[in-house]
Amino acid sequence: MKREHSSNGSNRIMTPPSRVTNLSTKPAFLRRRAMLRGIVAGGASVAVGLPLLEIMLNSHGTALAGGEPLPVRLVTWFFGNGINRARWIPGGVNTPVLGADYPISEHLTPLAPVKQYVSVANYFKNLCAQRITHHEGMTLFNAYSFDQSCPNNSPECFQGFYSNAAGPTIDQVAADHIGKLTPVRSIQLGVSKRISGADFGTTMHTLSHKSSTEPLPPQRNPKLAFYSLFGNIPSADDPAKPTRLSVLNAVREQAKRLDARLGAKDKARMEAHLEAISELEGKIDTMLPTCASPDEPTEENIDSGGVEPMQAVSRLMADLLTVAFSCDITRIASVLFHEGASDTVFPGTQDVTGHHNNSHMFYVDEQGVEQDGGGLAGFNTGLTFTMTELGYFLNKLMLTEDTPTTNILDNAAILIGSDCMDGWSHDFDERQSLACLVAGRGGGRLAHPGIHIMQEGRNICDISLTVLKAVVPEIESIGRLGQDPPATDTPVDELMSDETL
Amino acid sequence: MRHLSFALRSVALTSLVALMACGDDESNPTGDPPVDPPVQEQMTPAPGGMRKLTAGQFTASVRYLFGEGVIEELELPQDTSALGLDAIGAVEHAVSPQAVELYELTARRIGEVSINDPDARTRVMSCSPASAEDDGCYRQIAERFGRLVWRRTLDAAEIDLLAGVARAAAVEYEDPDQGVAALVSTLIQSPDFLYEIEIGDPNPDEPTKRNLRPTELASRMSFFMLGRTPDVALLDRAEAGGLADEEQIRQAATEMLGKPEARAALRSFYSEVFNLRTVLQIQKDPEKYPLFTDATRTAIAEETLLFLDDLVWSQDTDARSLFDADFTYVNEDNAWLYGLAVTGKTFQKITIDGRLGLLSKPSFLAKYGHPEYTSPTKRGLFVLTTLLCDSVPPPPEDVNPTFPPDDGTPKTMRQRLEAHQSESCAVCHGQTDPIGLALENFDTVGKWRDNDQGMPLDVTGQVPGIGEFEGIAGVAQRLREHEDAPICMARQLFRQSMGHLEVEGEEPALEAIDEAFQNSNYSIQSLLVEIAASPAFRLVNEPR
Repeated sequence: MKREHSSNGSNRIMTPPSRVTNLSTKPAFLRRRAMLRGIVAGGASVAVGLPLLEIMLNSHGTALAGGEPLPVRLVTWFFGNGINRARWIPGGVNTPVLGADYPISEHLTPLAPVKQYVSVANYFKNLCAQRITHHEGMTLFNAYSFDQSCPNNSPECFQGFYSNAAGPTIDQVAADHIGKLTPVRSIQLGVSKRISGADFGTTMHTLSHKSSTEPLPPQRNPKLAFYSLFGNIPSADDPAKPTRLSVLNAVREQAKRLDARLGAKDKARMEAHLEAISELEGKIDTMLPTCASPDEPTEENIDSGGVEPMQAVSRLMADLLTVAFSCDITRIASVLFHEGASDTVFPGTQDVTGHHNNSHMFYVDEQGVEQDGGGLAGFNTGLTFTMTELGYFLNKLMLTEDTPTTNILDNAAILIGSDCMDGWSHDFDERQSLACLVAGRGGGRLAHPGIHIMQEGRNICDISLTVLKAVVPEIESIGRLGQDPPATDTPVDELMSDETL
Repeated sequence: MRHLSFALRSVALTSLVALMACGDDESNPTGDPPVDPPVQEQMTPAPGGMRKLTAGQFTASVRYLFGEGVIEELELPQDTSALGLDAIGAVEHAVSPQAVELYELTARRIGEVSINDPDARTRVMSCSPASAEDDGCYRQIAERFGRLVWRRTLDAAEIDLLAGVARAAAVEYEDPDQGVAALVSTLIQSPDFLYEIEIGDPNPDEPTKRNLRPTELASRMSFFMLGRTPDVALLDRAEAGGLADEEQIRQAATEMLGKPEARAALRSFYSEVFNLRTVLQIQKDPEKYPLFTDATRTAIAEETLLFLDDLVWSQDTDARSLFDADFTYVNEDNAWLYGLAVTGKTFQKITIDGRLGLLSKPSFLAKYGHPEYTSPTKRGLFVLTTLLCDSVPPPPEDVNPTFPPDDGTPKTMRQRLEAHQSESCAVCHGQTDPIGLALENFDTVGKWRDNDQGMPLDVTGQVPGIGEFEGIAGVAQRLREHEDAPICMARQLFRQSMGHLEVEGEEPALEAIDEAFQNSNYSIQSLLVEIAASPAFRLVNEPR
């Protein structure tokens, strides 16, 4: 039932949510390609993943033509259940090799092609005030101890296993500063759908939080991730554009009327809802980016025979994110690869056991020697898979041109971490460390080549601040300084740099 | 183990109040036996507020409003759970930008369905706008259909707003129907649809006890009992003052039990608390369990739902039969788990020796297990937390998590878990593991076995607060007679209905619900009505 309309004497084909021509066939709601064709029709052809056009840069290629600095992207990337020190620490547990010439360890081998861009940080300390296994590791991403206050002060609150992030994660702090510069403020993606049974709040289920009551759950369906990144910007002459804006405006008016009746907590939730509407309005109202979107994925991350399509999903997400960065659709992303305390079964795990269970079925003794309780091989397989997928993503960023002289990884700052260091012990030891990597050159603000750094006892959130400052240099601190142990205003000098790329 | 301290404490509290009343002769000059004040006077309700519709409630509502044609158009955000329930996450969390974007997409699609799908069009469009200037028609649709979507009568300003959106869209598209699509899109995206509003009006006499507005109460009842937005008849009834007292509410709730959506709503509740929604994610070793296919996964969830449906709706029997009823449902996809051969997809009701209740159902046994072997810990934790509403604390800080290295000799699960009985581990594992070990006759896909890797099974055990037991029959019996078990059933449904964990002020109301549940011989149907009729359900405190 596609209708033609006559407007000012010229025919235009209606493409609004026009898909309901035949309800029995699933309509293709992701019409961006069609819209792009329309845009590109009269102009130059556009390639997928086109780097910043030279016309957009100043004569040196060191800044945008308008004088603003080149975009630096921020990514937080999480994997659950820690690492195996015996195969993780460059040089080994007893003979670690520090500095830029660190040898690549067995479990970091998949990152060898991007090693110049990767720093390995070991034995920094997690200062989260509470310890209830796994949850506290998420402090790396926001520098807050977590919030265990029970709604309505109910007496029954699942004891320790209910927790929420107490403050915004660094990606959302960055989004407050630079999110408005792009059509999409920030994006949250995930891969494995196996979730932790040991979190009755949102601390571990959600890598990005705007506040304790504003978790930003990851999108694990590549098709919908594509929609969020590329599928929802109407062209200038599409009547859907003014109509959608007018509808959202009416929704906002209606929300205001309701707001008067609400209590303080619900007012805050409503405000978050209205902020989300503003974000969407901004996106609908934006100019189409001058590059083409990738193909719409058909993958929807549905299990078959109980097996997750992890690699397909992981790579699609990496590909989509790379193009989104390249097109400057967004500069901020989080990737929850798989949750802490979740029993994701990784492809190739010979004995088909879950990763969390495996992580508790071996340990590394004081001499740095592995003691197998049955889970060692499976854990190693899982971690290798995880690092392989991280390597795919980082490599993809490195191989994608950003400006004529830089690639995307040059202009990205990436914080990679887990919820513990040794999964088997939950780090209930004096060291209380977390697995942590920093990747990317941060537009010249992060150490390059990357180093292996070990500073036992130092606040691990100093690293988080370092990464954040690479993207938003004017930020001085994260967390509740002076009130909450993980808060910090001291970035890690060794991980910083001051280069012009 | 911790009991439902709350409920037990409240019993003591009430006795104390009664004692004080007895001793207070001055306040009882007539010498008549003291009469407890009504529950409504004793209790303080939880705060009111707004609750996001869960994906299930959204879906069931638009199915009712627009018909089946809308279902495949939905692209809803996933719910965020809190304290074990999506209904609580819907109260605690703000919606994310990605969620709002999907609501917008879905609302636009529903708008298109409204004007293009003949069935939906009939429901939505009581008139067809003749032109973009047909304000009267837009207003009529806003007024009539808007009342259904927003679950209350719209005021003049709201009708103005909606008609204005419709006109603008019709002009923009040069298509009067597109005005209706935009109007519907606005209705669906508005907080008045996306959130259940349960705030009531200020009550100067008793600020902590506000009556829900009649349509708010109708909505709360409908979403709880039918899982969807209230129908026209219920809205009419509410607005005509037909839900004004406990008797009227009880009557309306009892009538709702007869609707097919009541079954669907309870099915959805059980699917969530018994973790049946994720059966396709149950991973098993394909070499060891090649027959455990996706068809089997789907069938074991359906089996359990049919079992529950039978108990609640066909038999309306004692809810504690959940633990020890000896029947189940099989078709060709799950019969092999019982060593049976059945042909066809139709489920047949059968009785099997040694299979008692929920804990002998593969949907539980397989879900709470590892891919290649059982997990007595996970099974036991489910019993404690989901069936008894107990909670198990996190590991203590001085825990020593280093297990002895595997010496390669075959071990039974009981032998493997011996390390859990060290002092620091036993605090929790001493509660969880024995229950799970008593279920070791069922392997990790739920098939019966007489031994574990050729070694005999010891399925005896005991847990403080539960008692001694042997095998499934022993555990089933201990649960059936456990005083917390029916209370926990009532709490789970109460939490689902209200979107919060019970608060202290609600104790008298909860106690009354528990008593009524007991007096009904533990009829779930009766429990549903009792919750809806409780003052805790129709009153709210000042908004949170």
